[in-house]
Amino acid sequence: MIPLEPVTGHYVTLPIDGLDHRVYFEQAGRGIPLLCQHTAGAHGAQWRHLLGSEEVTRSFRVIAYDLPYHGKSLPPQGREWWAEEYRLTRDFLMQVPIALSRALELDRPAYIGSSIGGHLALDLASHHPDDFRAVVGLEAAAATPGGYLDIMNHPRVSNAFKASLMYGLTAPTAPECYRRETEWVYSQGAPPVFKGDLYYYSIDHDMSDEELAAIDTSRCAVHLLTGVYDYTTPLAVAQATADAIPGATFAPMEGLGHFPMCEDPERFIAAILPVLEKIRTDRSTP
Amino acid sequence: MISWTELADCVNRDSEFRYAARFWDATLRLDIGSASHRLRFDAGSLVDVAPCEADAPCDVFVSASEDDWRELLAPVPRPYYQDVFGAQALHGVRLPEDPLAYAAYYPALRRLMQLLSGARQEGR
Repeated sequence: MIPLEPVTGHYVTLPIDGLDHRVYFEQAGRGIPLLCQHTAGAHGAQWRHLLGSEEVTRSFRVIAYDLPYHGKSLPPQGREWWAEEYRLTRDFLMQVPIALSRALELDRPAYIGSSIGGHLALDLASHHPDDFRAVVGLEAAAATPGGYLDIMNHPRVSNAFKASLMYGLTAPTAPECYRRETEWVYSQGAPPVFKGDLYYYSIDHDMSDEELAAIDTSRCAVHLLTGVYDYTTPLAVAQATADAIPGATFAPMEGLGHFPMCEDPERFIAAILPVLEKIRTDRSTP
Repeated sequence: MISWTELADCVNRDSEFRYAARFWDATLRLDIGSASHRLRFDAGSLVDVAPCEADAPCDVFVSASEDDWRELLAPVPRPYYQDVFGAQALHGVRLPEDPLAYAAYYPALRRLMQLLSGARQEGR
């Protein structure tokens, strides 16, 4: 028999905003729980390389979930979602990892996310610092206006447009097979989902300098990393966001773009291991 | 320096481009500094390339300075030059204001840029 990968998938029902959301997640490893949030319009398969990394899973229980409406997490019953335009809000998005953490009885997990997931890292640190021991924001910024565009869900344009744009957000030095895999994942999203997620990315996520300055990194550590090829979150924007948070760390990632965890996993894991080690050994956060 | 004749052969032989450009009937104008060329596609085949005026009518255009084109077509583009959509946002590259003009065929446009880069590297 061919050995199975040590990654298991499960469904769990999360009560959010009065509805039951049946959410799919995959997990591997043991140790500190690490909740992994995918990018807008995608799903948890973006984290498959972290799930498969023994260097990571020997100390971390990696948990990659699909947001409702994404991947294997279908839209909820009890709501006529087909009669309205899908739109992801900050308040809903924040509830997903918190509800998942409670459902799995996790002890102050660490959190990592990219793009909308990176932005969510900042919102979680600001609004729910006692639920997480640390957050890692990839491609995170205080705000990224201008992305909530009608062209991202237009009847005359197929999903191939969005997917192709995402290929262009990867680094040209990344392995071609993984750039294409990143593009493929994007082509799988239901037509309204990417634009709906960008509502959070470009409208609902909008943090002031005062809000960033008020984040207490002694309660929830904040680590930000940004790929130098990510044109939606230029390095200077990401750096300014990190600088506004007392105690936050920041690192540019050479040779990576907007999807570090899936466009060049080897390079990403080399970049993230020191951050994970810091989370593992950090005794300053309760 | 790009050999437009050889580029046409390359484009029409490229399976990825042919798939991305299926059913595409359009004229594409490439403005490279002060030199413009108009490429005509018929059902996804590149059937004609000719010099044209900078304001010649077209369905889609990509306009940039010679320096920006050099960056766009580099073997390993510098950050934010790896994609014309991104280069439009952060560098001096111009695309039609209404993205509906090119969105459906953006995968074809992106592949064409790669083929142009390859043609330039090979000195065609």
